[in-house]
This record gives sequence, structure tokens and C-alpha cells, in this order.
Amino acid sequence: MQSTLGFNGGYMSAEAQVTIQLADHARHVAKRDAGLAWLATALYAAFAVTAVAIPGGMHPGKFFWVVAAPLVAFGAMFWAYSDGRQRGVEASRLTLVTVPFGLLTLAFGFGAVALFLGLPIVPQYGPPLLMTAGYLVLGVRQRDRLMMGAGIVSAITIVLVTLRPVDELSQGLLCLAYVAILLTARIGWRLTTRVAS
Amino acid sequence: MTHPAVHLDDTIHQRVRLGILAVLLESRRADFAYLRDALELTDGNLSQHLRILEESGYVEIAKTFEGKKTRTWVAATRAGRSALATELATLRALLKQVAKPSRS
Repeated sequence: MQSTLGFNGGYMSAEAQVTIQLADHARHVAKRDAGLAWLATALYAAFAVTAVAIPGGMHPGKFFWVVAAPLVAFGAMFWAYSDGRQRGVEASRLTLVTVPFGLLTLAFGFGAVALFLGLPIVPQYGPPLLMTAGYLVLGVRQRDRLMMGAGIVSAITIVLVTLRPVDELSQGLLCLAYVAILLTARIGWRLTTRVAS
Repeated sequence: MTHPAVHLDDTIHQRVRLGILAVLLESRRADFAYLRDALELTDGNLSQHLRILEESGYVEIAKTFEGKKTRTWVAATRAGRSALATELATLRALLKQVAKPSRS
């Protein structure tokens, strides 16, 4: 004979599973709509920290990565935030600012210590790698694929810019490609939302 | 040992209210129209659930004027975020409990 507890257990199990699925779905939708600013903010941090890894003094290429690329990425972050807000979902401004700047401080601090200790290579490649690792850890911890993607984008940027030096035109095209990725992602999400509704 | 179901919160155990808090957990705040569309609710239904959540101290509702339009923003409170985390943890514990083979 099936016990009452057994019946309740089965019922509650199904109920609990459906409830968890609904909560996960709702979180996923909000994460998708509020999350694009995260990708841009990670790009901003990646561009800023990558500039450090470019060898040599201040030259036009380095200036591009130190000033122009981060400004474009910051602009994209602001646009993504405003767009999300207009659609009715607002990302946390405090987190958007504190996470990249916190990671930047950690990365540059790490680089400065390595430089002070006279360690070879570490001051150049340590900060970008720390930044990438930071985004990957945050992404895994938050179960946020966008954040993990941002970490990977950051890693690709570092590899392209530091390990295979390219001219200014290619660097400019790379930056434009990132902006295009952001726009495509945005348009893709909007289309998906329209189809879903 | 108490059964995990004892820890379920009646206020947010209701699916729509749990969905509202889940959306708010991923953002700083969301507006009324966004919540209504994301959770596929009617205006009246959403209003009713928001009122219950607000009375329980789980959400805060603020009205702002943007141009000539009024916009209703909803944000989860610290208590709301904590309650949602507890609720989901309880549900997961419940699932584990049910999945365990019976001793009898």
C-alpha cells in the first residue's frame, strides 16, 4: 500500500521542480535583458588592462588601447544600460561600476607589486590574465554565461593584442568588431523576444 | 529533524510571486510593464501579487514621472532577496529528500 507520505512526496517533488524551473526561467529572462551592459563593462576592463600588456612607451597604438577602445566600450556599456532601462529592466549601477573597477584595481595592483619585486613577464601579462580569470570566476559563481563569455572575450583580446601584435588599423577593426558583436547580440535578443511574445 | 517543507514561505511559494522576485533578483529594479510581459500576467493580477509582496516587505514600489508618463518601478528588498534564496534552497532540499529511497 502506498503511504500518504509517499504520495505527498511525489506531488511535492513535481510541484517543487516546476517552481524551480519557473524561477530559473524568470531569472534567465531578466538576466538576458539586463545583462548586455555586463558584456560591455567587461570589454571596457579588458581594453584598459590589455593596454598595459602592450610593450614599449606611449605610441599611437598604445594610445588607442589606453584611451579610445575603453571609451568606446564605456559608451557601449552606457548605451546597453540605457536601452535596458528604457525596456523596463535596470541593471545594478553600483555593481556595473564596482566589478570592473574592482578587478582593474586588483589587476593593476598585482602588476605594480610584480614590477616592484622585479619579476620578469608577470607585470606585463599578469594583470590581463588576472582580469580574465576574475570574470571567469564571477561567471561560474553567478552561473552567468554572459559573464563567462565576457571573460573569454577578454582572453581573446589579450591574445590578439599582446601575443600577436597588429597594426593600428587592425586594432581599430578589432574594436569595431566588438561593437558589432554587441549590436548583433542586442538585435538578436530583441528579435528573440519579439518571436517569443 | 524537521521536514524541509516546514521552511516554505507561504507568501512567495505562490508561483507568480516567486517569479516576480526571481526577475527582480537579476536586476536593480524592473518596471510594471516589463514584469507583466515577462511573466505573462494581466495588469490586475500583477497588481494583486505586488500588493501582497509589498505588504510582506519583500518589494518596494516607486512611481516616477518620465515626461508626461508615470512609470512604476519595483525593486526587491533585502528581505525579499533573502526569502527567495531560502525558498529555492528549501525546494531543492525537498527534492533531495523526496529523491532519497524510503527506509521502509
